[in-house]
Formats: sequence, C-alpha cells, structure tokens
Amino acid sequence: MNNVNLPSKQTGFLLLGTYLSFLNSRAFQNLIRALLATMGVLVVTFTLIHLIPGDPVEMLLGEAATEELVLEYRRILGLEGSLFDQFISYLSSVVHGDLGTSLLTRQSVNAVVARTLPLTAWLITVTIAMSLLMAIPLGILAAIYRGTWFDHAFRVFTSISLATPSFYSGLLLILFFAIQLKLAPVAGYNPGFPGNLYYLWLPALTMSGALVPILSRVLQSSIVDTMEQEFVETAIVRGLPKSVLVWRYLLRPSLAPTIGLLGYIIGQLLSATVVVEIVFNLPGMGTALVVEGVLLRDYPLVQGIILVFALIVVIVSFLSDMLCGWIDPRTKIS
Amino acid sequence: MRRFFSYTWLLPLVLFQACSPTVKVPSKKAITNQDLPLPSVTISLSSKLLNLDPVKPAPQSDIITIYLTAGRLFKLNRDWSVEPELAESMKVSEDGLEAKVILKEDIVYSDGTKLTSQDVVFAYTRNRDFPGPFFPTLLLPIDSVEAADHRTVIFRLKQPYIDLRLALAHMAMVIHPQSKIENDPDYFLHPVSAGPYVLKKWIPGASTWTIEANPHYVRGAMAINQIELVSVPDPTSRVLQLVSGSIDYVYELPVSAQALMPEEVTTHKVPLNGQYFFGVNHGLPSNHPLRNAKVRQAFSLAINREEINQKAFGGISTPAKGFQYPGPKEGLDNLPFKGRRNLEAARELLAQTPFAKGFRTILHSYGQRPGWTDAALVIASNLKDLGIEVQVSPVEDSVATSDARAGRFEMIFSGNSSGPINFFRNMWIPGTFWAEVLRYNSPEVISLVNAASKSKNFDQRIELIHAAQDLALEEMPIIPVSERVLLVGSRIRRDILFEENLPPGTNPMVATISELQGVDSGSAVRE
Repeated sequence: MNNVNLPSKQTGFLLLGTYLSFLNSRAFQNLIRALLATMGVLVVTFTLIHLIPGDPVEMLLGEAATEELVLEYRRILGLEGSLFDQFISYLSSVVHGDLGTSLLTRQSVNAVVARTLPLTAWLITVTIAMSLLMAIPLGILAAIYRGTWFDHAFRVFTSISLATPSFYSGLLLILFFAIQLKLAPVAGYNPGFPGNLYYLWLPALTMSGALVPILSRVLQSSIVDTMEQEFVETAIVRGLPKSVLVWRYLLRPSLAPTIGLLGYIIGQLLSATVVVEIVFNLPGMGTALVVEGVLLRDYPLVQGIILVFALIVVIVSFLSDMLCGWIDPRTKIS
Repeated sequence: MRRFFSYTWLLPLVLFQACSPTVKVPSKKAITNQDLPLPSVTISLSSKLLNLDPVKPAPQSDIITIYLTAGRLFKLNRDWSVEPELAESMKVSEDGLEAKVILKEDIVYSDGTKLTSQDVVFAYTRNRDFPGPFFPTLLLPIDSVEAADHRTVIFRLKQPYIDLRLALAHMAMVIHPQSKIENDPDYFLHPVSAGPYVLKKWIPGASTWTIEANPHYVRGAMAINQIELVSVPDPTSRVLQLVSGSIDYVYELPVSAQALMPEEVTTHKVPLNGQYFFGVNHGLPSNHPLRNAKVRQAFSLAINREEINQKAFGGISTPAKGFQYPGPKEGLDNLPFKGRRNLEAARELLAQTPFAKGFRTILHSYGQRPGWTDAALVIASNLKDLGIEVQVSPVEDSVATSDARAGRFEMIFSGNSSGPINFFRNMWIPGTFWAEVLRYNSPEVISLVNAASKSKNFDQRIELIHAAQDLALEEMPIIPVSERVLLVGSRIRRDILFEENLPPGTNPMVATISELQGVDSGSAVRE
C-alpha cells in the first residue's frame, strides 16, 4: 500500500496534455466519425428493411399463412412490439456483440458472418491485388506516353470497361475463360489457400474491370502532375536510370491519391461483390445478403451483414488514410 | 516500397500454381448398366437446405432432401400409383373406418437401429401435436393411430378415405426413430434414415450438402451412391454449370436455355402437379366489373393459352382445358372450345354485361418467378383485344404474398399445386390458402368438393368432383391458364433418374423428387 506512487502534479498535466492532444488528433476524429457513420448505417438499415413492403413471416409460412399463424410466428421470431422497441432491443444485442438470429435458418448471424466473411475478404483482397498489378503499369505507361496512340487506346479501353456492368462482363469472362479455355471453374468455391485462388481469379478479374480504369486514370493524372515537379526535372538532369526515375521519383509521390481512392471505393467494391458472388455462385456475404437476406426479408441477417460491410468500409478508409500519410507525408499536412 | 514491387511478379506465379485442375471433369462417354452404381453426381437446386424436420416450414430444397433421406410407409410413382416402401401390406376394414398396415420384416435405419411400429405412430402424433402450423390436409381424415404389435399399425379414420395410401406417402409421414428425436434436440441436424439415402454432410446455412445411399434401404441398392446437392440461386449460373459439366442435374432450368444445351445434356419437363391461373379478388365491391361472372368467362375465352405457353414457358406448359392439370381422372376438360381462344365468343359475352366498352384493371404477378410476368404480359395483350386495359404489376414474392392475403389486388397470376382432390380444396374450400386469398365462397361447390373428399367409392368421387367443376365453370372464380411445370437439365442417363430398364434390384436416383414436389404442398393447414 505504501508503495503506491501517486502521480505528481507534473505527470498529471502531462497526462491531461496527452489526452487533450489525442482528442485533437486526426486518429480520434476519424474514430468518432467512424462511430457516427456506423451508427447512422445501423439506424438507416434497420428502418429501411422494416419499412419496405414484404413480410418475412408470410414468406416463411407461404400458403399456410393464416392470420393466427402469422401472429404466432411473429411472437416466436421476436417481431412483436413497436419498431422503436425492436430497434432498442437490437441495438442492445449489437453492443454486446450479438448480431441476432436469422429468421429463416435460426442460425446466429455472427456464425453466418464468420462463415461467409473469409470468402468475401479473399475476393476483395485478390481483386485489389490484381487491380493494382494491372492499374500501376497501365497508369505509368499512360502518363509517360501521354498523347500517343497508347494513351488513346487506354482511354477507350477504360471507358468501355467502366461502362460494362459486372454481371455482364462476368458472364462473358465465364464463357471465355471457363467454358472455352477451361482455365477456371464456372462457379463454386473451395476454401484453403492457394487452392481458393483457382475459384477466385475470374470473379476478381470481373471486379477489376471496374476498378482498374478508375485506379489507372487517377494514377496517370497524378503522375502527370508529378512529372511537372522540379525534383523530377532535377533527377532527369542528374541522369538517373529510367527505372529509378520511374519507381522512386514518379511512382512513389503519385501513389498516395490512388491508395486513398482505394480506401474510399471499398464500399463500391463490397457492393460489386454482391453481384459477382451471385454470378459465380460464391457462398460469400453478398450472396447471403441478397439471396437469403433481402429477398426473403430476413431482417437480422440483412442488418448484420450491412453493419459488417459498414465496419469494413470504415476500417479500410481509416487504414488507407494512415497508409497515404506513410507513403506521402504531404497528405498528413493537408 | 521498391522491394515490395520487385516481388509482385510472384503473384501471377501463385495464381498459375493455384490453377491446377482440382475440379472433377465428368466423363462424356455413355454410361452403361455395368457402370452402376455411379459413384457420385451433383444436383443443383435453387435454394439452400434450411431444415430437415418434416413438421417445420419447408422450401423446395428441404422437401426434396427430406423425401430422399427418410422412409415412408408408401411411395408415390410418377403416374400417381402408390406402392409400398416400408409397409408390406395394408388392409382396410369393410366399413372403411380402419386400416391395418403391416411393416416389412426387420427394417432398420441407416445406423442399424430397428424401426418399430411405434415410430410410425410417433411420426403421426408428433405432426399432429407439434405447436406449429403444418399439418397436411391429407392427414385430416385420420382420427388416431396405434401400434398393435411391433410390425402392425392401426389407423382409425373419421371417414372412409380412399387416399390413405397417398397420405402415408406424404412428407409429413416420414418415419424417424422416436427415441432419438426425444433424446437429442439436434437430431434433425444429423438424422438417420430408413429411406433411399442418408445425410452425410451438412452445415446449416452452407450452400452444399451431401447424401449417400442408405446401405439398409428396404428396396435395395441405389443406382447412384452419392449425391452432392448445391444451391445455385442464379438461373444463368445453373445453365453455365450444366453446360460446363460441373453440375450433372439442374432442377430448375430457364426454359430459354433448352436451345443452348450441348448434345450430352438432355432436358425434360417435370410436372409440378399444378396449374397456372389468374385469380380474381371476389372481395371487390359488387359493382366492380371483375365481380361479373360473364366478364370472367369472357376473359377465359379471350386469352390465348398456347401463346402464353410458347412465349412465357418455352412451349413446355400444356395449355389448360379445364380447372385441373392434365393427368388425374379428377380433372375435367370442360373449358369451352377446349380452352382455345375465341375472341368473338368473348366479345359476345362481354356485350351482355354493363362493361362492353371495356375497363381498366391491374394484374399482379410474382416478379421473381421465371415466366410468370411474361405470362401476365401476354394475358394483358390478349385482353386488350377485348377492350380491357390491363396493367401488369410484377412484385417480389414477399410483397405478392402479403398483398394477396390482405386482398390488395384485383387480379393475380399464380399457380396452385397439389394432389387431385386437394388441388380443388385449396382453391374452393374456405380456410385453405387460395380460397382465402380469392375470397371465393360458393356453398354448392364447397358441398360437392367436401362430398368428393369423403367418398369411399372412386367412381362416385369422380362424379362429384366433376359436378363441382361444371358448377365452377358457370362462376369462373379463377381463369385456368396452363400446366405448372419445371424444366430439368441432366447429364445423367434418363433411366437412372426414373424407373426404366435398370438392372433388377437397382433403384433410380430421384424418382421421388419430381413426383412428390407438388403433392399436397399447398394444403398444409389445420382445420
């Protein structure tokens, strides 16, 4: 008891200062923003899914749905009471880490997320890796050969690719790579690395069709800006090898906007997984969300998956902010 | 950073390595009887397996899996004949109020546990007493069931019941061991089986599950040892997987895909024991044009059923000639002109009503179901020739069902599927789904259908149910359109699916899937 060291006045001020500077820090502001965004998503999802027409109990009972049974099943499934009461009850469960129970399968939504999230995460990871692999060289070449035939071809290609919906490009890619060339399965999934890449590369290529044009165009414009900087001219004058010039002087300072953008379009990427997972019959979160959740009005499942989607967007945006700061310290100041 | 990029060339290498051919490539050579039993096939269904307990709500995948992985006293064939499965014989008393069923000797479940007559009693009482909604109308005439000895079960009936064998072939009467169900709350996650197959692998919510042949099945070996069932919700994906050979049998194939199938894939239609129709809301105000029977009769004459069949259902849905689907003798082909379009007759009929100049109405359809909205659009186009402006309103299944039950519709395009008598009960007897939705209530028709249900003489039953259909023709409560069918695509030889030319003692794979899908599925209500 006598050994307890009480903080001195100075230490107290120091702690208070640290605390205040944390409150003022970008990380804390991002955290608050993330919490507010998540809460907003929670409220909007809950309200919308309950307000759209269609009743999960009637879907469940089908032609056996008499009035008495509907009421009985509402009680069994916990769909009684006002919307506000249901929301408070749901919120309390979420705060305790419980996303609820699926109305149809009676499985915990946490279990559904645990089962489907790895596939979706893998799909997004492979898509991002593939997209970067394609977008970086394309962006560099398009910047270096600006105004040439390559640049024009690049613009035409990116416009077509952007304008093609993923459900359509997915089918074309299946017909070409899976049916004609037999380089990929038509559908399905087998977990376990690296075997799962056999099932993922074609869906990832489909999603890259929308991502590569955006990333490469942003990178191209960013590199063009960088090329006009004095330090690049100095490097050219110094006669540095071309590879050093491109990688160190052009690419690194130009990558930050691309990485930042990647963080911001993660939401779009997640929504693209919904379509692509259905086309390729991948049992991921997107399939669970639409096929089991939205169409069958499985409220807890929809709410749980969208909440996880929102958390992923928030976390990835936060990380991409941090990564941008590391790649290009100028973005921290801005 | 530079080091990171210098290793990026590894990624294509990993992808290339991962692209090893790990999926099975099905052989295209013809299968002969010497190849039987086939080791494994893959079947795609449109939804996941949610539950194997027969007393709970069951979507298509559940019904199919339950039928394949559980035994019943009788099994139903595609031609509506019933033959014993676990039962050896059934003897009905003179007054028709008691049926004695003798079980085959020494029946065991897939795990070797003995099946007893008490398990049969339990299958019935559990269904009857379960605090849920699903008690099929087929079982309603049964008063009580008791086990006389270890092989004899006695069914006491409230009325003579010529459909008892059919009822005992229903999903509600699948037999499981009483002791295991009572002692294991998770029994239906890993049930044993007295049917042709037994569940091998299933994680609830997963999109694939596997069943394997039951080594103790009373009817002998199966033509296929193992079946992997896969949920493929997207119809296009089903087509592509069948074409590429990663799936051997697709249960619900889009009709437009027929022309795309390679030589080794055969397609055939599967009757769902049902009929498409468009129903009118009889709860509309009495002065509404649709409440006029002549208007409804004119509609029936004005629609082109063959055009609907061709444009909406790819030519596989036989145009209706009466209120019931083709096949059972209970049906009567009583539509005027055998159901063919006669616009002149339709105009004449409409001219006899106050609505000769036409009117506007709305036709709801289940937007998610293949062909249904197309059918509604053809109907709208046909009725335009009669001066009727029909707005087609496709809605999601969940919304359509809610709207139908709440009476928020004028006309609705839908389908009814059930066994011969229950098909009519489900449309015309109050308390059943379609009768409640359409709010149709005709005491004469109800009386005839009820009498037909209770009749113990088959000929008398046919007479009564035909009379009910003739009466309904005058009121035209619904307008029959065409037979309710599904298209199936298969790489598996047809006789392995059905009962044709198989070696003695070999059972076909899915004789149960098609024939039982529609039996009584729409009549699961308590009285």
